[in-house]
Amino acid sequence: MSRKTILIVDDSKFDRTLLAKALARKSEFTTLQAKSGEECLELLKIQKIDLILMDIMMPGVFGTQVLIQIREQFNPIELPIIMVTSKSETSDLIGCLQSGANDYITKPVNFDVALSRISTHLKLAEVSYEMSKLKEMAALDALIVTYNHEINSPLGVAIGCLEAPVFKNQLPAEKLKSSLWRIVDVIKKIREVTDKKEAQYTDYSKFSKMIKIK
Amino acid sequence: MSDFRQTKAAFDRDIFLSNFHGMDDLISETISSFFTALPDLTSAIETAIREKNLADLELAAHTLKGVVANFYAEPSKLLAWKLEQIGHGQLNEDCEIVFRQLQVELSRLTNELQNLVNETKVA
Repeated sequence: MSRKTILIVDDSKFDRTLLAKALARKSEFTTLQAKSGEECLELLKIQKIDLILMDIMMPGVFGTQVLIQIREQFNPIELPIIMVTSKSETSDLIGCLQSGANDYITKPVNFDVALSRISTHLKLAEVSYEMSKLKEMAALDALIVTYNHEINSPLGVAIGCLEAPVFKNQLPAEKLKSSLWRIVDVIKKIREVTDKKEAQYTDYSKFSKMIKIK
Repeated sequence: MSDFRQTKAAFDRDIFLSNFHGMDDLISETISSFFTALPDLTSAIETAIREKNLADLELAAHTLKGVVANFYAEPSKLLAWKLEQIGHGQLNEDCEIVFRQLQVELSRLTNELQNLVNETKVA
């Protein structure tokens, strides 16, 4: 697992610093701190965050409201959020879980429990991401197979027509036939790439790549 | 309140130490940070009481409650919780009396934490 960045959001400097120090000693995570919901939202605009530990009760914007705003941009797989709460805030907690929090830990934070929950949610996020990539690939495969078939059929008809005696030895017809056969060849190669399940890429322009089919 | 003051320790030393297992250096660092932070935390409560600002009292007491909870300091936590509830309008007690009790408890807590630091240094 690459070095992950955890953002601790808590208005209590003492609490967030202590948690950051404990995580630094017990794990390889990079920790960032935000003292308010506003600061958290600003940080998310400029920094890649892998998981957030968010205190529920903060002055100004409550953790619950920040959570709702974050979920407008990031789903629970893209950015897991673990709420940090005192035991007396259980009613707020239900609202948080319904609004998209992945989990919660209670204050005082047991560092081993926190670390275990963080690791679990980071792994879950990673597995979910891989699964969604696989589904995306399967959808693309199906799309290619479908269009392969849909293009091949009219191409076959067009080439068949060009074989008619009326077009025999006529240069435009021969050129057209050769172009159509080239399209047939390209489609066959696209199919081969799909069957291989992995593609080789080559530069197409400065900002885009194309699949190598030759 | 006087009952638990005489019988109960200001913090649960065993649970506190077990949470810092393998991070001995962080124990004295955390206690030292607490000593540094405490005057501001209590003065925020004092100011809120003086200005009769219930919203500030709730927030300041909530923050202190969270901080002392890291030491599993139940007596202080309970008194901070009471002030938080007074601030929230859910408890009808004299906040000045509760605050004075809290100050006594916090003093007991700092003494016990200082003893722990001294023992760690000797060991």
